[in-house]
Amino acid sequence: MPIETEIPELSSWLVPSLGVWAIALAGLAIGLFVLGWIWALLHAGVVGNPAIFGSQTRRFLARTWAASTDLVLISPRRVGALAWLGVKEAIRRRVIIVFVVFLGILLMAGWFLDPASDNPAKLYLNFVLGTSNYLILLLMLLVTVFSLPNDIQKKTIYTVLTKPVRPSEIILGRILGFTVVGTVLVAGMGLISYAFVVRGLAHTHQIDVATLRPLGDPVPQPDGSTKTLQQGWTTKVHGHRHRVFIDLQGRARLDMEQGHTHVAKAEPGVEGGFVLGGPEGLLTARIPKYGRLVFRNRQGFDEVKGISVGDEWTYRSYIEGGSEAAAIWTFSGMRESDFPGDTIPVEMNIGVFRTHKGDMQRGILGSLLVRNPDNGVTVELEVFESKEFSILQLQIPKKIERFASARFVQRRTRAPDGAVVFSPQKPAEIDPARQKEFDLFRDLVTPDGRLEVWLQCLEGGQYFGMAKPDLYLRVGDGTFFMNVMKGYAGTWCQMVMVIAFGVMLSTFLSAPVAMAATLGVLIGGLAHTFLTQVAVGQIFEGVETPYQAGPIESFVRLVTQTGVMEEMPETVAYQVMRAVDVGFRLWLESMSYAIPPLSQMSFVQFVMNGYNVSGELLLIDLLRVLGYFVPVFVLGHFFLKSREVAA
Amino acid sequence: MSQVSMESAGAERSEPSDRGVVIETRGLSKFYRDFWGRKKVQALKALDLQIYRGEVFGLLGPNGSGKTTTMKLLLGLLFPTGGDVFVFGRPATDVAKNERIGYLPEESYLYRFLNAEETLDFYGRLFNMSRNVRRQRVSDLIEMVGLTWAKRRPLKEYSKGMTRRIGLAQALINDPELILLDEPTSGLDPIGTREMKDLILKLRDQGKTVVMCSHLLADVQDVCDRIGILYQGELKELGRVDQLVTMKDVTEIRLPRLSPLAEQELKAVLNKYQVPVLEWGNPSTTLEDLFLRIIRESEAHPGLRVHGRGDGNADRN
Repeated sequence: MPIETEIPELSSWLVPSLGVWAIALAGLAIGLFVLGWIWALLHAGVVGNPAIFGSQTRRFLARTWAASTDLVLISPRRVGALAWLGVKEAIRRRVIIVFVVFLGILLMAGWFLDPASDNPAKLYLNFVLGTSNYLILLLMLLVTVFSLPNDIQKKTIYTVLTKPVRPSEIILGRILGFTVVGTVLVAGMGLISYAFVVRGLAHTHQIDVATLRPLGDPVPQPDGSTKTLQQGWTTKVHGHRHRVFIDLQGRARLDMEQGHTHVAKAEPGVEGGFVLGGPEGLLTARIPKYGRLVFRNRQGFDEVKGISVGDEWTYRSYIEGGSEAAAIWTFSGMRESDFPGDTIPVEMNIGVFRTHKGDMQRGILGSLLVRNPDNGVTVELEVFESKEFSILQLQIPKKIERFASARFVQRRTRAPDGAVVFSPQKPAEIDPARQKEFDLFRDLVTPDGRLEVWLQCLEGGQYFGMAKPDLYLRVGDGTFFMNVMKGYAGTWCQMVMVIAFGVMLSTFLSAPVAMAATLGVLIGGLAHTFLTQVAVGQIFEGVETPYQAGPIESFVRLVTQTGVMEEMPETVAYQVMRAVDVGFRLWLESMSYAIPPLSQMSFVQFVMNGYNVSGELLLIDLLRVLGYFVPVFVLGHFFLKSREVAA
Repeated sequence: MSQVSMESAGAERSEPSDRGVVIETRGLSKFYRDFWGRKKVQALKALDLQIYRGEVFGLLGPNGSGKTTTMKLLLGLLFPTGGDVFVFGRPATDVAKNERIGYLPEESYLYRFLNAEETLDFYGRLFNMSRNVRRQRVSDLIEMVGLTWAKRRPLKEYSKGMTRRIGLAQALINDPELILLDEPTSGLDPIGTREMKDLILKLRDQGKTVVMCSHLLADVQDVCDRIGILYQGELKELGRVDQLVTMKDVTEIRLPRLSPLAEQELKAVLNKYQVPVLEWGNPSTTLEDLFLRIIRESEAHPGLRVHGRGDGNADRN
């Protein structure tokens, strides 16, 4: 399975995110400043004595200024000492026990995880990555939220705060200390998980001699003897067996099964004559190259989206078969040196929607085309049969000698005034139809490295559905070990967020309340996509619904047994209710920014589906962590600074 | 108390202030509020206080009189409800003042999972001291408080007295100019108490300012130059100890043991001037002095001690 979420691109992600970040931060700073000011005035009793307004305001400003300077005067040595204390504390709390728990879970999992399942690598990876992820997050949550409140309760913080220590240093030291401990745990779990998966899935087969049958007629050899192609099966291990072909040169080749194959080495002494190696291609880290997806509608005009077939999940959109409709991926930065082989592998996972049953034994036919976006030369490479729920691999040869057809194709868009804009406007100087062969990089890739890959559905009344990550060029493979480690880097990023929020919230909340609040952040973060959708009213996106009410209205409708399609009377009470609901939604929306998108930081989906986690994704994760870390750290500082720890 | 003639607080103003003010509070008050922000307890009422460089100042008062609250306000652990606190001329909430302060809390609030060396090293790092300075300072202080033999043991194994000592060591890690001691002698045995008091005097001799609060009056009397007496959050008395406790209407003469004849004549003289004798006899030593002398003798001559080797006051208890 490919990745079924939007994969952000650094270039298009960074600028808008920075904008939102800056606005959110400015809003937060101004809001807190005003609230703090009002609170300081009220606390000083400005209501009964308005004369103190000026002096108290000056006092508040002086204090805020002093606290702000504390924020930047950070001594690395002090932070180091406090981090060291955090490490010591965590060790004293025996966080190491979580390792034992993890090992215990893995041992038991060994009984239940079935290596004979359809996709054992996915099963195993999902399990170990998921388990360790939740273990780490919960553990760090518990360790962090009790730390500062404990220090305050046991008054050990007195001896620290009476040293020249800034609250910012305490916050930073705590976060760093726990992060160090967490990093060790994450790294350890990563290594254990890797070993567990590799060992758990390691297996080999033997060629089952009894199943070997000759295939075709004996072929005479130069030395006078005859040889025959042979076909048979391997023995069954982990619930599967592979088909074996032995060619005339005496080489054996095994078919793919459960996503892997084995290398056979001739070994005369052994039964069957071959020794088979370990699983190949089972644990992979495919490096995909993604393109930008646009759609072409049935009239041949460009569209941002395809058509909806009524699926509630609007992730994929569809193109109609037997028409001009196509899905167009534009790849940029294509360099010949990136693809060492003779062909470029294209992997795709196409959703199929049938409006009539057709032949259920066979997939829907589709066509793969490549097009030069500059001059419109388009080569139809091959017709393929769709495979649902599994990855179909096709090849684009660098020297295209055999192809279905070649022609000139224009893309059409409609300008705002209704005029049709063609791209390119004029046909290419060469006539594609007369060409006998094409050189991919010379004829179809533009000088600046762009290439279009088109997909069309060939059967009328049937539809292909796709999203951007559903088709990609496979540039190569990363190392699986590194990919597991990168998967754990995603866990690490989530962990840092939990630690930072836990420490920040525990500066002004008691331990149990801080724990509940951090747990809220954790759950909200893991359900971040859903939270955002609810907040911006997108949960029924694409589905027309008159019902957009908030919790209060819903409750009233529930109690009064008013159906969702029924109009509510426009009374004052109803308007107040609506206003409260709008307020609630705004609150929810602000929460969707305040809560870190933990679910998007996770790379579990990539690792378990065998996709390489790119450096770009890692960088985005780190920037996200930093983006949340800064305000959380500053808030923690001000909260601790304004807290009377001895009260 | 009633017999003690009270120096008026006005005498305070004649105190030479050219030594420099280390701590100054102006109208300092503190309310503790409940969850709703209502006043619950008034812990401190309009405290005006100046503490000068190089003196040992004692804050006295019964439990709940506001001693510790004052201490915490000085340290910035609490924020004043009204008035101001200045330490070294800066607001008490300013972190930078802590560079020159040492604080020994009421109970030594230390991390019990660290050992003595780690503890002192940790606090040294909080003062941004370099590794070499820290190493030297830590071993000096551990030796000074006599814990060299236990420096690798985690504090959770320490007795109360030992914890107190290591608490004192951490308060001195930065060689502070101002030392705040909250009940410095609580939990210490008489030897430890004596050592603590000697140390306080030594610190004073080094020109440091010491502020301590205590309800052990004898300790305060032994070491403090000036005291303030707090009761229910109000400063009731402030002045030099020697002046405050001097009984102006009583005369005390200490003489070597008199012969019966001399005693008789002396009484006759007193009679002549119609001076009533309030007390006549041999003074008693303090139990502290007795205890310390016995311990010293026992250290010098190990073995079974013969009772009554001392003077008549000490024997047959």
